[in-house]
Amino acid sequence: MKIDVERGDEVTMVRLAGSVDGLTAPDLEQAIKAESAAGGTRFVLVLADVDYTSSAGLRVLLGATKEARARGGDVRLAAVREHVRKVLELSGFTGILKLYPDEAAARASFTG
Amino acid sequence: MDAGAREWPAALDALPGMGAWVAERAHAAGAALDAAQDLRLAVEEIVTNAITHGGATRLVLRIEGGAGTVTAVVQDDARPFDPRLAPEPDLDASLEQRRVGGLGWYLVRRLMHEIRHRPLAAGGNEVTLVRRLDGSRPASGT
Repeated sequence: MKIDVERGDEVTMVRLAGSVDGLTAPDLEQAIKAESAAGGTRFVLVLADVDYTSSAGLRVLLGATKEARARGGDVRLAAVREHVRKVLELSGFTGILKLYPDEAAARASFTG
Repeated sequence: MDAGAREWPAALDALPGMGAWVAERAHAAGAALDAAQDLRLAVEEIVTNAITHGGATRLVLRIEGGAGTVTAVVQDDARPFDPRLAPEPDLDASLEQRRVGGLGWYLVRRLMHEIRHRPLAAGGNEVTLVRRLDGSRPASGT
């Protein structure tokens, strides 16, 4: 999995490519934690190039969202592909997390 | 070990290669992308549990096509377990109350049409996962 982090003034964009599994999910967790430690609270995860996540990825998403909201921010998802969306829906995460059709819409949800 | 089976190291760093192999074999056995990814996910959840909770040191996977189905068989040398004892996550809990974890077996049950478990005589477990290819949804929670 590739992780590209773009730290902005208002929103941190995290672009992922590949599969989020039990091996790669901790890398994502570390990347978000590092940004949180640097003061980031508003995150957009761009999932356009993510074809797969297991429960390991869901755990990271849940933990990161709890942490961000506790500090007044949020983790929002952009461009979620079909199978990842199915896994989010089955797990009840689509009722908890905010999903946007693309990167621009997710970014705009924070910046108005 | 028969020709369709492959042995894997019981380590998390084998997961990406294992996942790609499962999806590719499932596809070759007639599964479209969605079904192949379902099988990949179910295998990953079971293998991860065997490694992190069961102390597995060795894994053997087999993918087979059948009449309108694709089947994955996972054998390990982990401590015996009973998948019926896996707890159900509370899907309606709020974000704050939601436990981080507990989703693995739940997803397996929601994605697979049949799940069979038996302890192996030599120790370890064999889990058989059947994914139908007719577009029907698995009965939840069974």
